[in-house]
Amino acid sequence: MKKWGLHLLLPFSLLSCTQKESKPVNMDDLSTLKKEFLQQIHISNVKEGPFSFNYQFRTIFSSKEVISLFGTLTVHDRLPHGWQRYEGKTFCIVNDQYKEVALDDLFITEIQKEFLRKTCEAHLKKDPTSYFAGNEPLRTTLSQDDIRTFVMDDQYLIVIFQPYSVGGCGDGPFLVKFPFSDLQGHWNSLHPIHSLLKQATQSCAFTSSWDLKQFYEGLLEEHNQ
Amino acid sequence: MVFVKAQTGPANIGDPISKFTVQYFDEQGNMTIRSDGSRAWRCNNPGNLHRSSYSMSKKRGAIGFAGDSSDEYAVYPDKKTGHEALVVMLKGSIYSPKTLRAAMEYYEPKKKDYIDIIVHRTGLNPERTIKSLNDKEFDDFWKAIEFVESWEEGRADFIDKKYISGVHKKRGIIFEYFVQNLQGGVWLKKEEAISLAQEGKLHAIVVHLKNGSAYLRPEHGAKPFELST
Repeated sequence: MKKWGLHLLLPFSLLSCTQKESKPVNMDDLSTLKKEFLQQIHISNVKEGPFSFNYQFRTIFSSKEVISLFGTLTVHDRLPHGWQRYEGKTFCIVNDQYKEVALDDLFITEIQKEFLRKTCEAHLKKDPTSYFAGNEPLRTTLSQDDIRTFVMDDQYLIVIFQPYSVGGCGDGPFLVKFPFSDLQGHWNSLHPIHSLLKQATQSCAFTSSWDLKQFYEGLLEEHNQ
Repeated sequence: MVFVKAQTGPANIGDPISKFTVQYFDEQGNMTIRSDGSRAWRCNNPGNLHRSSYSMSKKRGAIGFAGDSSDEYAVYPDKKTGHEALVVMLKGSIYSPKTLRAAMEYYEPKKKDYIDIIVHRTGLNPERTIKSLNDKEFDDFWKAIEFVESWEEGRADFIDKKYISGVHKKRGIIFEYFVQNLQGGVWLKKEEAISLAQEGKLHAIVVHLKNGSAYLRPEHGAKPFELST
């Protein structure tokens, strides 16, 4: 299998916010976020440090036809733990140009969106660390607004939830993995990404690395064969 | 059991790095591994205090830190100590002069409804300052924070560390070790004992020689291995 990797730490990403944010976090504008970070640490007490601003942007799936990236911004500019945001960006080739794919492109009807929401909610209710679990759940209903961030690999659509939206900040990222086979009939099957993904996976010219440990172990196994 | 040291352990297979396990060590070197559950529980840190000068200071009693490279949290020997770290922070100069609303905006700057949950659970006026709360109100306040931060117990695995209490020699070279814990002991061949030490389950240091072979020696400050007859 031909595999080629891409591991990026680039200042390049998307608007990733929820309605619950007091100040929407525009991760496309890392320069402004850096300025805010510097302003904050000037007024924070030194005991709250050491301060840090970490942005990681890595490929989850990469092929010539489809590319999906996952970003994590972790900002420690105060006690007790600063703040964190996740982002997902997925592109596919349409008319020789990379076009960004949104969840609204993949789940177009209300029935499809509701399927996505309900399935995520049911999954989160089974997770004992989520806000939906326990004798005294903090939340009972998942909102469509919570479902914004996603990535794709060779087998799954992975929906990722922002810190504190469905569980405590330290326990994330909370996510729900949908095998593509489970989504048949529940999403927009006419979207070009489906055929492009199929093309990529059949050609074996791709990397898929949501689970980095598994990815590198797989490579080592190939070397040893 | 009193834990004296803690460090990050690998995440379970299939879990993301952020679901790291936490390894606790007691004075005898026995290890307890906490996995699953919430991060607050795994770290004995109900406020999810990041590793900082404050949270790791001697006064706060942290015994280590755990996390991935960009996101590390203080680890406390028990829940009480971790809880104290949160309470002292809230009563300190950074938080106590703030109103509950301002405090929660500072605690988690990007989550607008954090204060709404606190108010809903406590009935407190968000415009009051933390230092104006009486003991009962303050208790309600930190309990609500710990609730949002999430405390969910997971799995704790105890791995006891064994001792070498005797050795057998042939022509002056050790070929067997008597390895024991409180429950009893067993004679192990040299290779088996080395393997156990490499896994961190035996009080001994593995010494590697240039020729590729290895042997065990006592830990620093420990008595030499005793020859059994």
